[in-house]
Amino acid sequence: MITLGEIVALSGILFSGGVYSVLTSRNAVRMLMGIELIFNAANVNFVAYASTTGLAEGLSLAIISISIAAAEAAIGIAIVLLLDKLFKTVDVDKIKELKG
Amino acid sequence: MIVDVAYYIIVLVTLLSVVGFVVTKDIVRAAGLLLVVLACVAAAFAFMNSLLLAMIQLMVYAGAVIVIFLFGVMLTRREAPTSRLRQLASYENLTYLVFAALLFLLILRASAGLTSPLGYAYVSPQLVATSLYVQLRGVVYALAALIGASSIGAIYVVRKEKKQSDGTRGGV
Repeated sequence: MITLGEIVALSGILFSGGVYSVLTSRNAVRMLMGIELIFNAANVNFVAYASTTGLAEGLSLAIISISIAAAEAAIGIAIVLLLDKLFKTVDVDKIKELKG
Repeated sequence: MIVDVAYYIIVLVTLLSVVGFVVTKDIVRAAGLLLVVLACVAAAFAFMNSLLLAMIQLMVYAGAVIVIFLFGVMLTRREAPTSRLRQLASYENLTYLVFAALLFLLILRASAGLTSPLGYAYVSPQLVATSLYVQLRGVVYALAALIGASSIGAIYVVRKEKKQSDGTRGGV
């Protein structure tokens, strides 16, 4: 029998990888991929708790989270393409438009 | 017991793929490893007796989102792509093999019916729909408005920038 802790451990693996990727990478596309990993970690938690308790609200929140993540990916890639067109790079260290 | 081992294999593949995703320098390879991670999460959903979420995960994440990322990589990549020989020598083919194995595992799990191999409760899609469209109706409406507004905002930003660049070109 797989316990809830072992499922949350899977979520922890995903979250750690996502946070590390967001903090260390300079490529904007790779940062977006890391954010998707973090979303997945949250979804695993939602589904694990919903399956443990038998309540449907966890699955509903997971579906909402998936739809937000899909929209975020589409808008994020649009912004990255715009940055690439303007600055000829997707390296976030070289883009200083919003820096003071 | 076999189901427990299968779940641990999924966790192990997820761990290795996440480490590979973080370590690798090639962004196309990172996208391939992300695909494996997303398929692993779908398989974990199936093991948690949530086949609806597993299918949504496969269709939305492993399908649509990965394609969006690959388009983003393709349109922003500056360096020359690696040669076909080096591509064959790399472990990208192994990545796709693992993805196919995970899909096969998922289909096997789906064909086993609704009884959970891990003893988890089955939440029917009717209950999920009731929760989503009755109890969380306000949240769904707010999210729809938010996603629509952000999409319109993104289109507005892109069109404004295009108009500005067209005006500059006309002035010159």
